Amino acid sequence: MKGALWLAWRQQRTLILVGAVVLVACAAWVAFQRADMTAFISDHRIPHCAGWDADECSGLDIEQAQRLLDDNVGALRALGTLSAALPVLIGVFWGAPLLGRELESGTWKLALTQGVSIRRWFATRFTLAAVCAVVGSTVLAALVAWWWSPISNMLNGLYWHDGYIFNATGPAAIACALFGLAAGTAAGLLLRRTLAAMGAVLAFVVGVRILLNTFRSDWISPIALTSRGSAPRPYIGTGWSTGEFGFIDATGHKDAIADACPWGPGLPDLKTCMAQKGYVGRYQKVYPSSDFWVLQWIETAVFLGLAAALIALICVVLRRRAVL
Amino acid sequence: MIVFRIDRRSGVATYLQLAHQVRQALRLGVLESGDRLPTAREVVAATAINPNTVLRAYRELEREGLVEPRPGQGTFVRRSLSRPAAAADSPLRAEFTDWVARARDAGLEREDIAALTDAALDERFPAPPPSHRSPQSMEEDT
Amino acid sequence: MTDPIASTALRATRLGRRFRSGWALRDCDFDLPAGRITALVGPNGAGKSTLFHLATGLLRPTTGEISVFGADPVTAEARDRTAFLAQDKPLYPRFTVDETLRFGRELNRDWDQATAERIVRAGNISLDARVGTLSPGQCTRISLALAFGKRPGLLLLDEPLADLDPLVRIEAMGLVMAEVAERGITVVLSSHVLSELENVCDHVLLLKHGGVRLQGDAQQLCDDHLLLTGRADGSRENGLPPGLDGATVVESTVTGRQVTALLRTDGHPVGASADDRWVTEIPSLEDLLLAYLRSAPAGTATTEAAA
Repeated sequence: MKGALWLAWRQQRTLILVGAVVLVACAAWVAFQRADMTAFISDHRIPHCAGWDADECSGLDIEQAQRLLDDNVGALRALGTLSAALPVLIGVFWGAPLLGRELESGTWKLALTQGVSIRRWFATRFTLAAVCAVVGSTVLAALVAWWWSPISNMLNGLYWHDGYIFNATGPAAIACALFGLAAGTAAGLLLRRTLAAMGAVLAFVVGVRILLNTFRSDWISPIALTSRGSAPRPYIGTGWSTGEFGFIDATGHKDAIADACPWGPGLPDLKTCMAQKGYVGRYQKVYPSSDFWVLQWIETAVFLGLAAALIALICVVLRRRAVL
Repeated sequence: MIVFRIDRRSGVATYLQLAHQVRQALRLGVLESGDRLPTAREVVAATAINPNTVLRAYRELEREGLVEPRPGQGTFVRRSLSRPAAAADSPLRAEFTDWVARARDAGLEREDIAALTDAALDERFPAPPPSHRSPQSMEEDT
Repeated sequence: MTDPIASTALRATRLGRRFRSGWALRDCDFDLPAGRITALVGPNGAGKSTLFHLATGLLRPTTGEISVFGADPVTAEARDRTAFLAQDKPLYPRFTVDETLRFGRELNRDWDQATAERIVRAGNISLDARVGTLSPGQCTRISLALAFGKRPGLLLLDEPLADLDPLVRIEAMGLVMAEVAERGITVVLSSHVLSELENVCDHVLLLKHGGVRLQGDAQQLCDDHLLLTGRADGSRENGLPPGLDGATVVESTVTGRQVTALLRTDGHPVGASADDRWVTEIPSLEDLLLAYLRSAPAGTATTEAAA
């Protein structure tokens, strides 16, 4: 390795090596667990029963399927937690010291009075960190998806909209890692103290995550699953229920159940109420599992936008040499 | 080889101190004709003074005809200042030692003898040695 | 390089830098000649470190400009020719000495490994030692090895001897002077210890309250001033003798009957009024700098509070 890249590698090699060891260990552990799991599935001929009510679920040995889930969901949750927390870890331990430690110890003065420009110095060290963050988060996200796929959205297992899965895999998880790195780097630059920057980036990345989790479903509208007359309500399958269900009248107008036929003593029962109010069917609003990708790409865009804004901020501050 | 010693409190310009020490070494026979003086680099590494000061001192000595620079080789002593007459066993020295002993027997203190020799020296060698910070009255200055 | 004596190594024009707390440097104009060793002197907060940071491009000026051998400090051309030892002498504590030298080699186009290694070895420092385990004196040596390995035309040293013991101070300064002797590097050196500058520097730049208070050739400045001592003249307010019209009083102190004054005469005679009751001396550089540091800024000098 040559020039500024050598310096970036020399300063980040401990992090890179520790990260690589953790990833390899994770991968080996997941490969072992998943091999066990697939062996169990084929031994007991457990079909992939998505939701509770797919066609494949008919011949299901519910006891063995439950054992399969019990054996894997806990560990999968742990891996999902690690993958979901990775952006925070990257922000705190990689981003915050990336410039923060240089400013704190004064070594940026040493580096920037050699032959390399400030742009090159920053670009190499940030790019190396970013490549590592992307590779690391991609590997973890892929491990989560790989392990989860044979038991995805199954019975009372992990569903696509669970935080353990949604936050831990897909393009948004990778974009979030980049965002965490950019946030940590910016915090280090603005606060000039590694420890303060670590605290700030922890609060910031966790805050953004909570915000996005809270408003996750608000970006797009759910679809309505309908059933005619008093036929049983449609199965939601692998969908993500919004909790909203109710009645449809002859004009196709939808009334939530709480407003249309509330429950309670002295009130007419459901069938009577439906007949009285002229409802011809029932509906239920859900996000189908295909929305996983729509929501993933939306959050990916949000994280990449935030990361780009933070990097732009860093470049402006560095360019103006407003670091002293 | 000569080792320079800088007295930072003497008030005498550093380059004069260097030149003086070379002259003294020539007089004492520590340096002889053909010897190489330490390079400016060697001097400043040991004394932590400005290299130009060393060069200035060497130029001063060169001007006096005591040393000569040889391009690419260094600065070399051209002639010695050691006088046989100043050697420890010379008659002049013996005579002077006798005189000092007589002066002491006559009750003169060390300072008195020094003042006497200074006066006698001033009479014969009128030009005072150049001094950087020698106090001078304003009449002399104007 | 052109004739090192004739050219200017560091030039500032209307240079100013403002921080949130105020102006650290304001309206500074100076030319530091190449091939010389300049003492940068000033009280704490006078703007010395700010000046170094502007000269290395670590800071950008608020007003005016500064150039290193005619180039903007942030250009590659200026960076290649400037070496800087910051006051806290930052090094990477987890690097070995060998890696620290490699850092210099990797980050500089023109790197003199032999010189850098020679400087390190002369201090009996193992190349395998971790920088974090070295003494302050050894760290100074490593920092100097990095600086000289860069083959600089201009070496900027911000308080290089602070926190070193006396033996190491001589050793470090001797090392700097030896390299300077060999290569004719221009040096700008700041120090609080004025006596240390006397034998080292041949040019002076004195900053006070963010402005240039005194600059020029050290010997010439000494020759342009007179230190006057005598019995205070009771008939005059400042106790100084009449007839000093051609001279500027930089500083004068009356203690009992005695008055001591530093005059800037610029070589002009100070007049017939003086008599043999007054003693005049050419001040030492230390006397001169102290007088300027103590004295209130005269006339046009800036009086704004510095950062």
